[in-house]
Amino acid sequence: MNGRETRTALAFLAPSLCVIVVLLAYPLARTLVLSLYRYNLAQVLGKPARFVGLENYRDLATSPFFWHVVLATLAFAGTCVVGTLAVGTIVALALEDAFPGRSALRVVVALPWAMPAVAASIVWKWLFDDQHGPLDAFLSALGLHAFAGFSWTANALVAFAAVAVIVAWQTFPFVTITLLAGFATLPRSVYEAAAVDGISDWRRTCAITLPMLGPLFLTLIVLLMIWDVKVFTQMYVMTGGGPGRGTYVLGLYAWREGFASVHLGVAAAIAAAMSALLAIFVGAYVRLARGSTA
Amino acid sequence: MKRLALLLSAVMWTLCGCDRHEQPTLSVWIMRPGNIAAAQAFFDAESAGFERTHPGIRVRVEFIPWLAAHDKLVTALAGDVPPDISELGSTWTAEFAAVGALRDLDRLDHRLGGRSAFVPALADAATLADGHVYGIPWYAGTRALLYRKSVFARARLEPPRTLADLARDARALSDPAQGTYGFALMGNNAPLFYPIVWEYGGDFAAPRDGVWHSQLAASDGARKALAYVHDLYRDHTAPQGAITWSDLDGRSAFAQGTVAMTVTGSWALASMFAEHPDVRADVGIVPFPSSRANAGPVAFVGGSHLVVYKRSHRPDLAEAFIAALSRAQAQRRWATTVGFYPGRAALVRSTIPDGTTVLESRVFADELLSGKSTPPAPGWGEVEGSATIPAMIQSVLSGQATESAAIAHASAEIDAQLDPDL
Repeated sequence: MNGRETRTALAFLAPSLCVIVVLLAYPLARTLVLSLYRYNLAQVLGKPARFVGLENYRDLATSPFFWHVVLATLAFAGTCVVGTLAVGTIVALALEDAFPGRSALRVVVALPWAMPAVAASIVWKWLFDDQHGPLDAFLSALGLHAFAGFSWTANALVAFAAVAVIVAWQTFPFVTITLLAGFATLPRSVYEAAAVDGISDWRRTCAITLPMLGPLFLTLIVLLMIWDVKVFTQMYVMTGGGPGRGTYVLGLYAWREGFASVHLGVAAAIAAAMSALLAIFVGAYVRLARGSTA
Repeated sequence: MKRLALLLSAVMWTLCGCDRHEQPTLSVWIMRPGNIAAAQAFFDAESAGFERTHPGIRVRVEFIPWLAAHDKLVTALAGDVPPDISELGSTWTAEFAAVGALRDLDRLDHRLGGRSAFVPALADAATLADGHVYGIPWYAGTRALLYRKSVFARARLEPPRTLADLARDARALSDPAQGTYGFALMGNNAPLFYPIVWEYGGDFAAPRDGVWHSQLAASDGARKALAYVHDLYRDHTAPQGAITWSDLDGRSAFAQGTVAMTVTGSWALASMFAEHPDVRADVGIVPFPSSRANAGPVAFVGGSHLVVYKRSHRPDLAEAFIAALSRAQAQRRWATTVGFYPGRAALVRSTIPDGTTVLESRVFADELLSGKSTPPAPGWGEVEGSATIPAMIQSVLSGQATESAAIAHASAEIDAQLDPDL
């Protein structure tokens, strides 16, 4: 490439570079810089910010609570991914074969994905309500009397599970739609050969369809993991981090430090740590994407 | 032609805008009460009166929602555009004063009668360790115990006077199999917990050499208080889900008959009875129980102050407007409008907030004049913002931590929040 070509290339790239710098690089750099400062309410109100180097990071690294939140976030995200994949796959398989009303159902299935997370979470909070929620009423009507007045938010593990249900419910359409698109790309010839061999539907699904979509599943796992590590809204609405600090995830922790306690430096350090964690998954995703196009 | 007219009107607009800007304006931020129409009418009248006695001055009152207020004020201060006057939650005054955002109001306070003229807890909360007064008490509020008369009559019980009575009654009135419970033990409601700690002789924070420290572990009071609520919860005197309940959740469970007792403030009564008119006659109101018989309760008193910001260009006018709002007549009218009590001590007993009877209002009034506020520490707002106390209670109720472990954890958190160097 000669100098002139380079200049032309840069000129063409300039608009998108501007957008990237303004929307991505600046906030990221600002967060990293902020994470090196003591920046509390007094500093927001005009006291000079005090440079503390890596102190915010050191405090986090030596805080058992931070590591607890990291592990809880990963375990929670992992659970969400498994649940989302399971539901999404089952629904995709059910919608694969033609039946009357399938097109309409495919649209309906996409609705949870289209619903704003706050609205969905509030609706689920009502469904899960221990005094008037239909879920408890339904379960106890089935004869499961332990669920009469059962609180889904009084115990951290149960609350995590309940929020995982909300997250899975909201994200499974993405898996379903992706898989339906994936099904369409599979070569017909393999299925024809299988039909000649008289293979059962169940075997066909387990031995042909799903294994052939392996790379697609890997991509889905990584993408879902990235989303689910970042879960905030559902947890904020449903538990607010409680009981105690039992259902904190990284996003909620950063928010609480930044906006409830006005420790912006610490919040920035948590956000940076979270980005580092996510970078691992993003790296995996990039490698997968490269592999599939190579 | 049309275009010219448009241009002209735009120019006129701009000119008017300039003109308006020139007119000295006193900007006032008030917390938005539920009864917004009455609040608007009140301030329309007060502003008009002030503008009449101070020709050329315009008073602009803005109502901001409580939940967004702290953020909005911090943002305005960071951007160097605070209002001249604002209402502040009584626990925020020390916080804003300590970072140098507020003007000291010693002279105005003195003119209005000084400490003894106001509800003591609110006057304390407005006075910083440096001895200066940074806020004028605006309105005060406290919580009392609400009980269902018919439920108590059926069980042949008297409303509780001591914490031991409360526990006994709560147990007697609970029947989890029927879905009815004795007491709304709200795990997300720190003000319910404050007086229990005080009753057991505990406290939350105290200054030492000018720096505030957690007092939770300094005596056995907080541990006993936690053990008390833990016992109540373990014995199923409240629904399992109450661990995450707020004030509102407890009130609606009480109105619907799920719980026989709850704790709430005078300001919540009018709307509760408007929504459930059928329960009005069945509700009794008594002081929150104390630890010993025949001893008055130590209630938690909250409320708000009016403050003047250092950046105000018209501090004298701002003080004059606060003085006008502190007139007996104005204070009483505003308090009645929002369901609270006036910040002026002399008016407390003669105020009957909407939703209360004369006798019931006496219960709140007595509590107000003898009650306490949370520590007037600059960092206490952060303790509240971080929900440290509810987290401590919930971790005990849910069995995640023992009483001592939860106290140790909360103490460390509070110490960090109160340390001005952190």
